[in-house]
Amino acid sequence: MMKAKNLWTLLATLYLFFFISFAGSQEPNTQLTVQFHEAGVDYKAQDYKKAIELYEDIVKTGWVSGALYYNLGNSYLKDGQLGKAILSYERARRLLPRDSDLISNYNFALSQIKNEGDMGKEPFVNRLINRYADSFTFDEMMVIVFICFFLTGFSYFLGLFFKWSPRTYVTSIVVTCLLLFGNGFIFAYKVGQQKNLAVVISNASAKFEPLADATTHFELTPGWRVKILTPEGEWVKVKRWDGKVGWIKSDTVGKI
Amino acid sequence: MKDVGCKEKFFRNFFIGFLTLCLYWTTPLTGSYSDDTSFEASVNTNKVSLGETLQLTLTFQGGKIDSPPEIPHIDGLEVRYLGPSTSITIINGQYSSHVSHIYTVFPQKTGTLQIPAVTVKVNGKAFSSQPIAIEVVNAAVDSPGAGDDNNSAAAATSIKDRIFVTLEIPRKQVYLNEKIPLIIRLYINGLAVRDVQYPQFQHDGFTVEEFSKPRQYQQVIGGVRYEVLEFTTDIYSTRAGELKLGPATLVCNLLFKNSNRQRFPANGFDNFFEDDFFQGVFNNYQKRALSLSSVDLPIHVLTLPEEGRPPDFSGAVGTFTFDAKASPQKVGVADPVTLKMTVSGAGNLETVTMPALKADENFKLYDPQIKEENGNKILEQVVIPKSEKVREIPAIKFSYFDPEKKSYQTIDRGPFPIQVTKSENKDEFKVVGFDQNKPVSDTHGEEEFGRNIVFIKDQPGQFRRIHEYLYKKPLFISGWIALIFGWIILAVFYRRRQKLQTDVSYARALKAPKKAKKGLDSARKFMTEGKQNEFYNTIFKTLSEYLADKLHLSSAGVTIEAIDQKLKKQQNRRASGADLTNILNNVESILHECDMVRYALMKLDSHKMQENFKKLEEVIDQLERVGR
Repeated sequence: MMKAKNLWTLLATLYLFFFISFAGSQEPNTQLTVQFHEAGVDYKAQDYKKAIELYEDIVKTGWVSGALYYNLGNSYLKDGQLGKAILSYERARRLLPRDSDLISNYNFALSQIKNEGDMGKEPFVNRLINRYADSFTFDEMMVIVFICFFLTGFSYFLGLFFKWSPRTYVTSIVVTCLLLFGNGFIFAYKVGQQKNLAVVISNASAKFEPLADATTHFELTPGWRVKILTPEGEWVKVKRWDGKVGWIKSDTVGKI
Repeated sequence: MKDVGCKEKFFRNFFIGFLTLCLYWTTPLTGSYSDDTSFEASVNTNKVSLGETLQLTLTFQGGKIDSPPEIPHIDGLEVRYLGPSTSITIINGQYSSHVSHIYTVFPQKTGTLQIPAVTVKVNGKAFSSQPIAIEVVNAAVDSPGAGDDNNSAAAATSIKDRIFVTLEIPRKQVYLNEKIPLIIRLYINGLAVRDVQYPQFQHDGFTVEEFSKPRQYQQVIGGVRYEVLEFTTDIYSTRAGELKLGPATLVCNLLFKNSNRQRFPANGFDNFFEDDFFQGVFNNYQKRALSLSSVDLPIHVLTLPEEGRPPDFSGAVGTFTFDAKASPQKVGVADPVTLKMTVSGAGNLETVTMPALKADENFKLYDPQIKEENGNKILEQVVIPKSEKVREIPAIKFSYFDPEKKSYQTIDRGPFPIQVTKSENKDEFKVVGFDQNKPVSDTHGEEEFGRNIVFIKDQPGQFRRIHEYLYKKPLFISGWIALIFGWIILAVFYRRRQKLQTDVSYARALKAPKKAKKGLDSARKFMTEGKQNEFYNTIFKTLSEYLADKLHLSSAGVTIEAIDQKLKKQQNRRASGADLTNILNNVESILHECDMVRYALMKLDSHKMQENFKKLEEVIDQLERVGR
């Protein structure tokens, strides 16, 4: 009986290991690495515009990394482009959510936002969920949900086949199900929260209508996060944190 | 067709004549001329075939002369006056005009002939043109762009003489990183050119700025008037040594006419009547792509001299001015003072490193903001005085190498006097992270420092496709599907195992065909070997055990009646259409014959054995179907 149990555990571990490592594997790209280092040299020489240009060129290739967005954010911040800096940091946070340097620079950039106090605070539960969700990348959250699903099924069948005591069996099922549904809910919440999220990159007047001479509804400052609702030509309909909705020019906002 | 051609010609001549008259009337008839008035002669080509003509134009810049100048008799050339032409140009509000008198020249003999200088007197002042040499040859050579009879003389010259590109720089010896103005000119004589693209040129070892908007003008070279399109830019050498610039290449479209019916526009690319509208109405031209190349230029790039190089020199080359000022001059402690430095002048501003102020115990410095505006490089440095004892911001120096003077120059600015008073607002202290009143040795309280960002990362980490997530990958999705299928298979397996353990009749029925197959194999073996007793014993045992397992009976309870009863039950339950009578008959027959052989010691032939074997197979097969 013990041998069969060990075999089961071994097979399950091997499956998880190979599946996650192969599914997450990426191609290396030496050319981009060289360009990344060249941009770093320009940054160190305080030629931030050149560094931005090189980093943006890498982004245009379609290959990105957390460190790339982090360095781009630094370059923009040094170049005085606060909105674009925060946008880059936001993008970096999706790839390096627990990086202490990034968290520090991101918080510093946020502290530079004008009318910072106007942005308001979210309810406690939302902040708690956000804090947990922001600690992981999308991929990590997906792996966590996958492992929870695996563990739920695994403990269910292990208990059945190996005749666990009812107490152990029910406890394991309840715990794994809670983990599965909890993480599944947070993952869905994170996807919903971050969908169409954008950062204001330059001062913008939100209008009641998508017209240049329309009445201004409210003002947006570089660095503020807004939700993009509808695009309309060169205008986009955005929603501010307080629920106010208005139209701004699409080039004043960058989707995360 | 002829009528249509005549109408076109009439309208076109009328239009040209009307515009010429308008321009003629509006030309100011002033009696006095400024110093920039000039008189010059030009020909449309200086090489012509015998029997063809060329066009001589006498142009008076800056005014007009009432009557056409007299052309002296020239041996071998006959000259006829065609008429005047007035041109007015207004560029950026600058008005200029010139009157041209046009003549047709008929060569009478071959050889090199000369149109002498022509002299006119305007308000008592004599103006003379330059003499022009022309070459008259025997045979005409056709070339593109020469589609018209009057202009066919121009065709005698090579196309390379009529459209070409030049590349020019002011000096062949320059210093490293020195600003070098570069000019590329496109010369056109008597050809219609369209779609002129910006030139390109080889520039290994140089950085190049963008071309400015091209300038257009006319120039007479060797008596031939050219339309000139001039492209200018600045280049900077990035390495020392013997370098090569160019060749410059320029791509354009040459227009040439399909038929000789209409007059070809002969004034290059800027003739009003070459507008597409007029071409579409009056002419029918075709485009031909033309790629022109200039010669290349060798340049000797010198390194900057070591001698006299100031210690603070950081690579600026050119002729610069440097200015710096601090404001406000009256501040409180920890209030910001902005030191603004401006570098301007001729040189590569991008490579100019602005002078830096060194931080000391008197000042706190923030990262400077550097920008380029209108040819100036501006640095704004925020300086925070830490105490009211500060009286001035130290002087700063800017050094550069002047290639004109071939020496290093240093400009000093400052020191900048400031008046610092003790600040009363302590909150402002905290903004910059500096508290003058807090003792430096006090480490028990909360530390407060200036805030800034953490430095960039040296390694890019793992690159990944933008917007590519794990959950979108086929392998990940297939993993999910495999996992779900795995759980389903496990559930089925568990249920089957449970049934086998708890349902004896199900377990027996499931095992019955396997056991029967083994019995059939043994029976087949005995049948082949001709062992009749063993065969019938095996047949009997196989059939009895099979029926007992299949119908959940005890071995002793396998009777025809019991089988019949069980089979009818199963048939009713599963609504099977199997022929039960046939099955029962076969079972009865096999059992009967087995009994005959086993107990009555009857001998049966091999044919009968085969028949019974087949019956047994049929019974098992039919019962298996009933069981499904």
